[in-house]
Amino acid sequence: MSGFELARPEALWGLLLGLPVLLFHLYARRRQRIVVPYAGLLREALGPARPTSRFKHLREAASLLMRLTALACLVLAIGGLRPATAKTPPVDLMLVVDGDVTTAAVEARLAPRLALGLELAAAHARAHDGGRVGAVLAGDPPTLLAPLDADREAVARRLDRAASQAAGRPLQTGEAPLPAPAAVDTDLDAAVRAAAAAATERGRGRVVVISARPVAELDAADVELVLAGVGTARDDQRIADLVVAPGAGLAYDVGVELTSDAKQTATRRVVATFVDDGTSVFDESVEIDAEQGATVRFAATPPGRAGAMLEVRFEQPDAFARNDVVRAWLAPRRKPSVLLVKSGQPRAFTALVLDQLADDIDVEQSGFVDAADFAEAEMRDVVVVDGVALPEGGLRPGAYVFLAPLQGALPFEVGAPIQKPLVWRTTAHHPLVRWLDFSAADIQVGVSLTGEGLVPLGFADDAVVVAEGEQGGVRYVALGLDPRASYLSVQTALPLFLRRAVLRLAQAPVTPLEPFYRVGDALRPRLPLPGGPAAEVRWAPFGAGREADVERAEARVDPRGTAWRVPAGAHGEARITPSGAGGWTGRTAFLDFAPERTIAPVRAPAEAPPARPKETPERDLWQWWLVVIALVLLALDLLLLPRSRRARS
Amino acid sequence: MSELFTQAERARLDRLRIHRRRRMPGERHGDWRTARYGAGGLFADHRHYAPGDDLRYVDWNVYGRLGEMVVKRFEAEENLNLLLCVDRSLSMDGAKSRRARRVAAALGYIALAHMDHVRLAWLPSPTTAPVHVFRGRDGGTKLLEELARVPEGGMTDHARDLKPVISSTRQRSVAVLISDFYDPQTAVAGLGRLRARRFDVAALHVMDVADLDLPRGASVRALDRETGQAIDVDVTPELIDSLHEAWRRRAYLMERWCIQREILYQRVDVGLSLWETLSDMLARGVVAGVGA
Repeated sequence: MSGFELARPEALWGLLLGLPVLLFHLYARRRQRIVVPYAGLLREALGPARPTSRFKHLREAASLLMRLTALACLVLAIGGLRPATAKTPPVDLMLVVDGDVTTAAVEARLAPRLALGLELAAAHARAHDGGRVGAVLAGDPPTLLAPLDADREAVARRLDRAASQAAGRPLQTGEAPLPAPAAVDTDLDAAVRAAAAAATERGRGRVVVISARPVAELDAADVELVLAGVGTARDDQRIADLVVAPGAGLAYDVGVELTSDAKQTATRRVVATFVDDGTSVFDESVEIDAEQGATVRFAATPPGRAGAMLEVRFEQPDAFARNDVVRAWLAPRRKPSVLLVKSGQPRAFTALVLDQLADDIDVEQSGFVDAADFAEAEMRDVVVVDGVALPEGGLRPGAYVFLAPLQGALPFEVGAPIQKPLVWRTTAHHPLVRWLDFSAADIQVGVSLTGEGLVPLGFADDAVVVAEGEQGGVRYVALGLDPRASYLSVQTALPLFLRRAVLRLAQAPVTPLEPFYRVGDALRPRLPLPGGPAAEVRWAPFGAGREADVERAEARVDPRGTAWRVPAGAHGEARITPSGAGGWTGRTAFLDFAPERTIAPVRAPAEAPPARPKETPERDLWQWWLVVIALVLLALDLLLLPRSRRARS
Repeated sequence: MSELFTQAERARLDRLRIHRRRRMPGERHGDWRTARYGAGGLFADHRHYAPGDDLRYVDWNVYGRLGEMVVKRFEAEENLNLLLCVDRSLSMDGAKSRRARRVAAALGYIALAHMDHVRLAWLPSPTTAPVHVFRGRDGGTKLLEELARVPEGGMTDHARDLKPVISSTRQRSVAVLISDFYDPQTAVAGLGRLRARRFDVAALHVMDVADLDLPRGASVRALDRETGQAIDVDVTPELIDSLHEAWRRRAYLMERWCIQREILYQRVDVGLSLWETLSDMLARGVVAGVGA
C-alpha cells in the first residue's frame, strides 16, 4: 500500500462547501453590538478579569475544526477513498459485438458466431476493472444491448441471456427477443465510433470490438481500442451466380456458377429440385476448380401448367449456408398457337412461312379464319393479319402481326403511302430486324406507320415502315410494305421477319415476374399484374417456415410505375400480392450474390479474459470509517454548541 | 395634568404634601410657617414696643396688667419653593426617564396644589434658562407639558449642571434630585453643592434592573449610551454576577453617603408602581400627609 486514491475525484469539489461553513463561523463569531447606559459600571464589574473567555474561543476554534474535518471526511467517503492498490483509473468500457450477416456462420458447438461473440462480450464485462460497462450490437440497425452501467455483473448477465438466445434457446415469457444477425453487411466502423463517443463521455474510455471483420483505427486519443476475434469458420463453397433462360421447347436452360475457397480442386455434390413436389432435376458431383470455379448447366422443364420453384443447392452446406442455395421461379412454357386472318385463300407466301414454323408453333391449335369471322374465332397466342381489314371493334387484346396493306381496326395509325423508296434504314441491333435488308425487294407499294407507343424499327425514305408496340392490351408487330407488289415474297427477308415476329410475340412472358431478381434490381413486372399495380412484397429466407422470418414491404410494382428495388440483404423466396388481386400471388426469388463477402475471420479468436475478482470489503471499510468519523465529529460539535445558541437555532 | 393622573389619582395626590424638614423663607404668603416673624396667624412672642411699631400689634392686655408696652409678634406663613432637578441624560432613556418624569410630575402636582412654587431644572438643561418656574393651579398643566416635551439628551454631569440652577435660586428650598446616578462622582458633587447652599435635599435614585440584562454567552461590544465608549466583553455568568454586585454596591454607597450628610435618599424602582414609590416616599419623609 503506497498511499490512497479516489474512485471519484470529482467529489473533491465538495470541499468548496467548507467555504460557507467558514463564513458561517465568522458570522457567528462576530461581536454583537449592544448599547448600555453604564460603561463605567461595566468596567467596574470587570475589575481585573479578562473581558473575554479563553474557553469560549477555544470551543469556537474546535467547533470550526470539527466541522471542516467532518466535511472533509464526508467528501473523501463520497469520493471513494481507498488504498492505492488500483493501478489504473477507472474507465468506461463499451463492448461492440458484430451483428453482421457473417455472424450467422455456424461455428464450433453448432453455435452461430453471434452467440460466441456475445459470450466473449460477457466475459469482457466481468473482467473489466473499474468504470461502467455497456454493450452494443452492430446489426442492422445497431442495437444497444446494455447501456453504460456500473453494475458489471448485471450487464454480463444480460449478455449471457442474449448469447443463449442467439444459440437457439427459446424465448421465455416476457423476454425481449434479441435482434438476429443482420441480412446485410453492416457498418461496423460507425458502431465503433458511436461506442467510442459513449465510452469517453466521462473521460478516458475503452472500446472492445468483438468481430471477425477488419475494423478501422480510431482517431480519438482518449479511447483505447481493443480488437477481439471471434470464430474460426470459413466459407469453402458458394453459388456465385445463376442464369435462367428459355431453352429448347418448353424447357429452361439453367446455368449455376459455383466457386470454392479451397486451395485445390474440390468435389461438391450439387442438387437441383423443384421445391413444391420434390422432383429432382439435377444431381451430380461437380469438381470446382480452386481459382476458376465451375459452371453447371442443365435444362429444367417446370411440371404442370402452373410453374414451379426450382432450388439449386450444395447437398452439404458449409458453415455459411446462406450462399449455398438459390431458387428461381420457372413459369410454364408452351408452343404458341397462330391464327391467320385472311380474305379468301391465304396468300401463298404467308402459308409457306407458317408451314416452316411448324416445329416452333402448336400446329394443332393454329388455324385460319376470314376477317369477317374473326370476332367469333378463338384467340390464339399470335394473330397474323395478312393484308386484310379487321372489322371495327373487332380488335381484341392479344398479340398481332400486321402485314400491309393495312386497313380496318388497327392499334396504330396509317400514314402517307410510300412508292419506290430509295433510302432504307433499320435499327440494326433490334432482334426483329437485325441483318434484314429490304433495299433489294423493289418495293412498289407501302404505307408509313405512326401512333402512340409505336417503336420504329425500319425506315423507307425516313418514313417508318416496320414497328412494334402496344396499345390497349394489343401487342403488335407491323410491316407497312405490301409483299405482293415486290420481291419480298421471293426473298428470305420476309419469312425471316415473320418468324421472328411470331416467336417474339409468342415468347413474351406469360407471368409478370422474372424467375428471380438480384439485390438492387428493379422489380418491374413484364406484364401488368392481374390485380393492379399496388402490391405487397414479402420475402423470407429459403426454407424458413416461421412467419416471424417474413419481411414485408409495401411497394408499387407496376410495369410503368416507379421501380421498386430489391433491398440489400434480401435472399429468399418472394411473393408479390396485388391489393386487388383476387387471390393471385406471384412467386419469384430474391438472390443476394455478394462475391466480395467472406466469413473468413481476419484475426484469431480471442480468449475470454479472466473474470475480475470482487472488491474486497476492506476497501469499502475505509469509506464507512470516514462516515463514522464525520458523524462523531458532528455529534461532538453539537455537544459543544452553547445552550443559548442551540435554543436559538 | 389629566393625561398623567386620573381623577382618583389626583384625589390621592391631594392628600399629600411636600415634607419640609426645616423651616425656610418663602417668597409670598402661604401655608408654610417660616422662621421669620411677619403677618402670619400664629403667635410667636412679645417684644418691647419701639417707636414706629404698629399700634395694632400692641398687646393691651399686658399693658393693662403690667403697664409695659409690648407688641405681639407672629410667625410669618409663607409658601414653599420646590426645586425639581430631573436627569434627562441619555443614560436615563427608556423606563427610567418615564418613571423620573412621572415622579417629578407627582411631586410638582402636590406642591402646586398647596400654592407652592415649583422650579424645574433639567440636568443638563436643554436651554439657556436653567430653571422653569411654575405657580398656581395653571402651573400644573405647564409643568406636565414641560415634563413631556423635553427629550432625553446630553451627558451626565450633575455638578456642572446644578451650578447655574443654584445660582438662579435666591431662596433656600426643598431640592429633589431625580437621577440614575450612573456617574456617582458628579452626582455627589452636585448634591454637596445643594447641601452647602442649605437646600433641603432629597435624592431619588431611579433604578432599573433591566439595565443589567446582557445576552448570556455572547461576545458583545458594549457601547456607552452617552460617551460612545466601547468595551468588548464575553457575557459570562461570572460577569453578570459581578455586574449585579457592582450595581448594588453603588446604590448602597450612594445611600450611605446621603445618610451621612442628612440627605434624604430614596430608591425609585421602575418595577414598582408609582403609588408604591410614593408610599416609600411617605415612609421616608419625602412627602407627608396633609394633616401631619
